[in-house]
Amino acid sequence: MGYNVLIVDNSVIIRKMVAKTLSITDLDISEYYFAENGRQALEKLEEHWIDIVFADINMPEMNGIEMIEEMSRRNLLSEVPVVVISTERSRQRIDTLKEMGVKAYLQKPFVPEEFARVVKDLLH
Amino acid sequence: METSENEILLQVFSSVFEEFAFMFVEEDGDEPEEDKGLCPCLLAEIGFTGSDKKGILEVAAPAEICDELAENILGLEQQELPEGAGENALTEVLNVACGYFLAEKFGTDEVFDLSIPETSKVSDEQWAEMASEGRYIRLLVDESPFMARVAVRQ
Repeated sequence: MGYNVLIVDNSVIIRKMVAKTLSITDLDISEYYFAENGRQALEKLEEHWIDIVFADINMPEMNGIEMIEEMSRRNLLSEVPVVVISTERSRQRIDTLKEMGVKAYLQKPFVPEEFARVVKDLLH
Repeated sequence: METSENEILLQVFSSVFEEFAFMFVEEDGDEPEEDKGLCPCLLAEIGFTGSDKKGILEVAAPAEICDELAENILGLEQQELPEGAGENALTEVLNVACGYFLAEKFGTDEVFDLSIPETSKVSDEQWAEMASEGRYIRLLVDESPFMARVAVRQ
């Protein structure tokens, strides 16, 4: 059975770019789910079984950090791996994200090969 | 704007366009001229706030080059692009460039919060005024005009 992925970014360009990059890896993806902010993402996570989340930080309504905090408060969601894909370059904030349980951090624009390696490491 | 900031902007946008969209950037050394028919153009702005400084980064580009940017990022033809893709591509370039700029200018020890980018339309007259007023660095992205400026308050 393939993996269900959730891509969270207010930019349609990035949502499509992440999905396209995933589609050219040899990972077996069953379903792609999309959300434009943290609030929509939490709804998708409650509605569907999700194996991995790719999320931006800087989003309207509910940002990525607030979303990850909320996921950690909900038992069923606290174990879902989150990969942050952001423009953030502050070492302090990247360290904070890792302390919050974020499994990997990728800087935009990411290199497809690096993206594929990170995802395979997390899912295999 | 300080010369060093212009140099950083040139370096930042060169990297972002090349890495993101395989597009090449050079400085536009020609005198600005009124170029009727260049617009509709888009102006996009993002704000940043650190512990003791804040500012904005702005970019402006013809809508046509924004669509081309989206095509290159996604590897799609124009007719396959989702609605608003050009505008979205410009704000994403701005977002990435802002992250690069802050790291280049202030290092990676400082934490900055970024605002959600906002866009507005620019007419030919507004474009000509912006190009001639000297606040923007004028670039060519794959030979199309592109402007950027940063304002930092410490």
